[in-house]
Amino acid sequence: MTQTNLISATKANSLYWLGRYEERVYITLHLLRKCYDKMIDGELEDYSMLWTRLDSSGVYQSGEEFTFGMMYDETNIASVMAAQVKAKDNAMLLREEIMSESLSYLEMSVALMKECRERREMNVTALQPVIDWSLAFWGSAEQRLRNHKALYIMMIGRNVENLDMLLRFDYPYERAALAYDSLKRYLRQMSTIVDDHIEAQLNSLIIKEQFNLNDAEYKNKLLKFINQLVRV
Amino acid sequence: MNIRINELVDGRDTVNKWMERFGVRFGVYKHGVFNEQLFPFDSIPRIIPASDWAYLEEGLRQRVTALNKFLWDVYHDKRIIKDGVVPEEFVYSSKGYMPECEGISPTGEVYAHIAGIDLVEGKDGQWYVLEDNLRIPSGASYPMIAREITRKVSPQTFTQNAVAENRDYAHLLATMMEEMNDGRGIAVILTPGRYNSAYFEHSYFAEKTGATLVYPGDLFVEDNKVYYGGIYKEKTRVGCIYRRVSDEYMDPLLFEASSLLGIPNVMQAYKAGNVALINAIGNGVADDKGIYYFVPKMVEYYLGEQPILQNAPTYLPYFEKDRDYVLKNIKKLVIKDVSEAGGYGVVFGKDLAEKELADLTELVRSEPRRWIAQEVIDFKDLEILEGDQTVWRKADLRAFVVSGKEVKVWKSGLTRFSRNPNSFVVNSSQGGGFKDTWVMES
Repeated sequence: MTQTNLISATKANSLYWLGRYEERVYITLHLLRKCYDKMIDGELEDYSMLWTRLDSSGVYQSGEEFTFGMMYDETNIASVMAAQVKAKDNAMLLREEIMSESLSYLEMSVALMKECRERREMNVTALQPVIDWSLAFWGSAEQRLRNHKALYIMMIGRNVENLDMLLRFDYPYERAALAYDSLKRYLRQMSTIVDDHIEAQLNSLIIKEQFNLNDAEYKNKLLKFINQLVRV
Repeated sequence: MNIRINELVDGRDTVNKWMERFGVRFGVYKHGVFNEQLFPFDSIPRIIPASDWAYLEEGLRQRVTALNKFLWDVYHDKRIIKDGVVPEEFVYSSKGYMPECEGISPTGEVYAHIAGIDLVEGKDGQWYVLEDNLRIPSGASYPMIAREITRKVSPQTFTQNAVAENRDYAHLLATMMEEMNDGRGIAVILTPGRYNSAYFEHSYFAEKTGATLVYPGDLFVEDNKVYYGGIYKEKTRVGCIYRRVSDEYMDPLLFEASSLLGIPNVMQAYKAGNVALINAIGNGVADDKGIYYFVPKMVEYYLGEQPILQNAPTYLPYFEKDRDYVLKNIKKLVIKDVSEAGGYGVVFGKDLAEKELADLTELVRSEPRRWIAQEVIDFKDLEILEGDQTVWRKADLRAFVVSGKEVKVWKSGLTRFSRNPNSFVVNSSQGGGFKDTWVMES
């Protein structure tokens, strides 16, 4: 079959958001595990930090409600379930690019989470397969995407989300700089979808001398630029 | 024939898990709300012996060849109308007839590139055609993926049984699309999008054929040629569109003006012979339930052959003699509204209350062109697994015929069954399930 390397705007958008949402699933689960660990020794309601930084839309009255909501509440945009469903929805639009095998990992994750929600499973370790399948998904998609441009767009989405989350959770400069370097590797391959002006701003802000996430104005500016960097 | 399927039946839960894993679903709108659901799969295959298949294959090829000739004729010379074989009222009053297609010559003179012919097998072993689907017949992806999965789950089943390969449907499609593309550009599959009931099929075919899956807005027309646009404003020529969008939404400048699913000016490009549309626009005139009555006559007229496949005994109230018969026997007939599809508009006279029967009788009298009536065929029930029980349910077979430079019949098909013990309606949109269809090699 005669094929093209051309990527439509519709697909570019799906690739970018697939990358973002799937990375969000992985990081949110990681953060939830850390949060639960803290709650063991501290207050059961000691979740507000996570809740606030993720711009969570859920309203929860207890640690238990929070746990359940952050895992399975599809109406809460910060929940693992919401991100996983959105990742899967975008992946569905890309079946012929990523292939059914890659898509299947996301389908299995959604199915498992629905089962866990059904039986009100509160232990985050029950979702360990979601993390395993997420990693399997990345490996599978990277191997199967025949169109390199498609792969780069998806990886740009993944790296944007990674950097966004590191900044939200005040990770140190070294981690943020490493994540930004990783993002730039892909941006160089797809320069036409990058806003040059915003990239220049980020280059001047993500340097050791400037880096101060305690400065709310600086942090907000960084987050805004990261989220406006790519035009898809 | 020694068929061994025990391993397959034992592995049915695993098969269904794999179906879920691969997202084998279809969408249904109920009360305006879109829901996706798994298409219930039954592990016991429908088995068609090689000798039966040889008969079906020959009959299907003959029928689809005649239908393609009819479509060409209707939009060009109209010989069949002039010769009085098909009354013109049936052609020009058909909802599927598109005057805009008059004189258009599709690539290779093929209209129905993909035909889905619905058949049932009577209890006496006789096959009957119930319906021809020549617009956008769907469903081939389900037995394809079912075979992919069942071969994984129970390889022994397939070493023990000589079943014809059915995963080559993608190859049949791809070959036909390339033939129609004729080197003009790329071949694409145009989907209305994620919320179309058959979206799984669109994306699965794109994956398996290597065609590009495109969405409304991805294609545009310039200088009577169709292009696929990229994010950098670059473009590539499109030579063939396997469109899963209905005729009336394909070109908002010619048909439904409010359509956001189509491609403005695509009909101009099509008319100029710059793009192939699969299936052609205007095919609805040949799969109209009223025209169905005339298909055996088309075979004789165009091919000079006796029809191999039989229609179910059908009456057209349009003809006085048939109308009299229908009105006298309405209680034992199945009455179909020719403008409906998907199992809707089908009523069994025996199920109607006195008042409903009287109303229908009046409608048949006042709008005879709107209806066809058929004898109820007591078609063969197939074994279905329901929990651990085996039950018997009505089932049909949608056979797929792919026409490019040659007419090829796919050695499989979609077997749909009713899950309701008292129902003849097998459509997935009304809760039916599906089976794999095994065509035996020997």
